[in-house]
Amino acid sequence: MSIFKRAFLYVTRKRGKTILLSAILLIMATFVLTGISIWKASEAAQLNLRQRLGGRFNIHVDWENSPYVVKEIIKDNEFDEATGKTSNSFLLYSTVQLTPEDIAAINSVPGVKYSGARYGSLVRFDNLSLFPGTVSAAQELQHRTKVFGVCCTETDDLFTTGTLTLTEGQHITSEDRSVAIISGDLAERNELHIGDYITTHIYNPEDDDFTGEEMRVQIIGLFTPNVTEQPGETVTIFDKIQNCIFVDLQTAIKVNDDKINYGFSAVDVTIDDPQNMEQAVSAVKNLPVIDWNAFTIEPDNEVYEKAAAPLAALNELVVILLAVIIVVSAVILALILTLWTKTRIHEIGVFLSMGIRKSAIIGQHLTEVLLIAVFAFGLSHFTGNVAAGQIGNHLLEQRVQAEQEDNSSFAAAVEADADIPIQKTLPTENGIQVSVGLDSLAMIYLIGFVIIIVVVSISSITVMRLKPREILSQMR
Amino acid sequence: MTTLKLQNIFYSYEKGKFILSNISAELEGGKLYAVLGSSGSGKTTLLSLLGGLDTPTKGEVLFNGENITAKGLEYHRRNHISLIFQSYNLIDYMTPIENVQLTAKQDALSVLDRLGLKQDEISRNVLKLSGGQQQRAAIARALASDAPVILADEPTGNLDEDTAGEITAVLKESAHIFGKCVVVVTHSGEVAKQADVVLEIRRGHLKERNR
Repeated sequence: MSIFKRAFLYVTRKRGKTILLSAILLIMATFVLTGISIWKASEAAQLNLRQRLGGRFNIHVDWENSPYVVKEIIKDNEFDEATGKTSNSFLLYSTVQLTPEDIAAINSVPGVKYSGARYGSLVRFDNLSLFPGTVSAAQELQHRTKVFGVCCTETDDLFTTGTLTLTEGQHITSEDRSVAIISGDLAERNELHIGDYITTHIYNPEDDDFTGEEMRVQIIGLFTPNVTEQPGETVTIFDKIQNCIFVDLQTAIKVNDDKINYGFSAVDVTIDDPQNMEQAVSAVKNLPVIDWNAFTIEPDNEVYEKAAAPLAALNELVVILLAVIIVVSAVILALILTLWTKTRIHEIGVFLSMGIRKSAIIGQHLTEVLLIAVFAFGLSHFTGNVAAGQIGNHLLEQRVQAEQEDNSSFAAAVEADADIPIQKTLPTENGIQVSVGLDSLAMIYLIGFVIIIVVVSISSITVMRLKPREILSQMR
Repeated sequence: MTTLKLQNIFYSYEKGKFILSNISAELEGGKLYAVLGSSGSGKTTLLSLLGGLDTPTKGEVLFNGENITAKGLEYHRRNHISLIFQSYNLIDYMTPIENVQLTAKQDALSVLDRLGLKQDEISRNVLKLSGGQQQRAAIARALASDAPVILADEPTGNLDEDTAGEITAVLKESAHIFGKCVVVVTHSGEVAKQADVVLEIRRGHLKERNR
């Protein structure tokens, strides 16, 4: 008679033991499957979060160590009558800057999603009616607004984070010259349309105003801000987001009559996966077009780390729980099977006296447990699905709550951009989709079968070490 | 002709204290042997050595001239020996026919039929059979395995007189008709009467009793 037939007869005739072992294996499998499913769902949610948030690092002039940094004194020991004190004024800049070509090279690095840089200045435009701020600015700044010189607006933080949306026209690209994107509100206030021009003058240092040669900039796009300042918030006229104007870098440099700057002193780089921060930073550092004596890199994974913290904590908790459940399950199963093997000493003795090999007897015991396990593990697909959804979200809720308490100051508000004082809430995962997939089920079969093989072998040792005669004498 | 030979066998559970001492005997196929002896004299130990359930402290057990350890005791038990026990030792989660099929090399149904087990009895759980029926099933299992040697340890010990007689007749038939070498360890004088050769263990020595 084959091992399988003997095992089948045992499982079908010893119904009490079969039902008990089925229940034990079902409970164990449900626990393990729940753990695996939550772990996998948490991993998937982390990946999703990573891809949604991306990682960021900032490349900027190394102001402390760069040999290209120049400190130019403009006013030396000047006496201020108002304060009665003397002061120095100086200009600090780097002679080596990041050019649009450098940015293009950074964008070509694998894993880099996009990079954005801005050349910011306050510019006065002719006949442009601006929205008033909530606080008054200095006299000479009252008719100026913030102008951002960029290579490309599409990859600018304000657009990539959804703070601004291009609602009409097109983005500024690195090939564009003398173009601008303004807010739809500002366009409406001034009855401007795409294709129209706004006029300014090149900065004249003698007048400290934009009184030089006339410059015309064509509007190629309109944006809509998705956030507005809160009531009571203090915003100057030039900080008001509706007044902001994006222009191409060359225009920004020219209008400011800037003899020093030809590029950017800093660039923000966003990568696909924050987990690959080190590789991305290392790849960018290997770019030969950038002189790394002038620049340094500062990684910023804080937003991702804070948002992913509850998931990471959940993941850690689940992995520990999973390990404990697997070990405890194996121990319980080993104890039960050892006891049951001892009750089968009579049967083992008879088989041995018939010349049935010990390996065939262990094989039968193994087949019996595996037959029951196939059924119990299959059933755990349904019980695991119910348990995993409930437990997964309950655990995540607890972790989110704990993390929010830990990081309340951070989670309350994150500044979206240093140039624009807009508050932005920290992105979080509100729930994870936990379900038992076929891969999880396959894993439970694999883990379960390995445990069963080990446990059945261990539980058989005590009896199988005995000689047939010793077993038969114990039978008497 | 099958021969099972004991050659200068010694066996001790404790060092220097031999329960079997320098035993030599030759057991042939076609004969029914009865082994007598008082309790604790070493009858079951002798049967264990013949059946390859245990190994002697000294000496050899030969099957057809070959030491039974040469191919392994498991091989010897599987191919040469069938054991019958006083307590039947049937597998309790199997029916009689399934018990017989465990190691059957012959048609299990015809062997059971020959031993007088009816159709409804052979598919019933063994625990629901009488002692005599269980022992018949156990003997059927031994016969169906087609082993040349049948070793029986007190096979009639738990049976009434009539059933014991029937079982002894079956064992005798196995030896005389089917050419098996049947060795029966027994206290029963009736079984000894039916045996072709009566052996007795006394003070560790095996002697053939004159009849």
